[in-house]
Amino acid sequence: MLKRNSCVKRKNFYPLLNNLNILSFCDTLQIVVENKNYQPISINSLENNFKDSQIENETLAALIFTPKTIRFENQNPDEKILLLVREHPAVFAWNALMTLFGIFVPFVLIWTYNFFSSKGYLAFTIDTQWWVVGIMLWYLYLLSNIFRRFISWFYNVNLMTNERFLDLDFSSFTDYRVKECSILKIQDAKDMHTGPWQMLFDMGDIVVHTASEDTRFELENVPNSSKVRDFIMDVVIKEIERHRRTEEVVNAP
Amino acid sequence: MPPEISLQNVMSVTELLMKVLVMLLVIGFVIYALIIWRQVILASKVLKTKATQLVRVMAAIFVLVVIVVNIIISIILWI
Repeated sequence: MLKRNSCVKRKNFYPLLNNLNILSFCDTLQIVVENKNYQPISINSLENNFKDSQIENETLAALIFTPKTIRFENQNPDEKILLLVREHPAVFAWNALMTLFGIFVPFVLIWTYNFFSSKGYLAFTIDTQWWVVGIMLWYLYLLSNIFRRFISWFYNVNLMTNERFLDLDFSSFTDYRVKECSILKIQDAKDMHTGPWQMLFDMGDIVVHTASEDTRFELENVPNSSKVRDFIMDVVIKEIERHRRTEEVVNAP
Repeated sequence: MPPEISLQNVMSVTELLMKVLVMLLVIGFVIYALIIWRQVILASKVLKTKATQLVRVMAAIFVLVVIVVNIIISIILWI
């Protein structure tokens, strides 16, 4: 009875205990009390750590800790998404610049044509019909390019749940790949800031090494990459610790 | 008797070839838009977010725009 009360208290003081590193002791206590009714480690502490990073509007965010409204195919009933990562929106900057430049291309061409035509340098004429068709096709190409880039960005995500790490890759034109790995197989994570663009926008590349056949996950242009790497390793360490303790309980005489 | 080869005939053949090329381009654009739309439908089954429905609507609008613009281009070319 006394032990049970102590576990109730543990829930009330969870953040405090977590900060004081007494959490593992209390979890062990709970295992002793409840034995086979062992529950997975709560992720409340992780949520608290990243509360300031949580985003209210999850619609088009590039980095979401513990998203509430996002689900994926074949998600298990008890499985909870802890992290969703997309590329930093700054990667659109180059496309936006090129598109802006592309908008003015027909005007420049028409002006150049008129200039040389009026001087009599051109030996041919282009009908208005062809100008209209060319301009329409050009703007259609620009629109397709923007839309294609947006779709690629929106659906090309990395997810981390309390069970696995997933890479949904829709970047190629006609195929998509879904790669996943148990988070128990994650060995280490590395984040790199390369180039002035990434330094400017506080984004980086994260490489997650695993013990699975497909040995690593590469997350490119991740916003706030050091925090994300830290989060990934925190979850992995907690999960490995929980798994170890569960095995100890199961194997106990 | 062989047909007479004149500059006007050569120009009209070139124009015809150009029209055929543009039509191929137009058909290619429609296929491209349909593939993107299909990919969006597939992707939205895998990842379900609040914005999924919005993106599907955007994809449908994109396909419609491509088809309408291509019909206009065809009308301009052939009529």
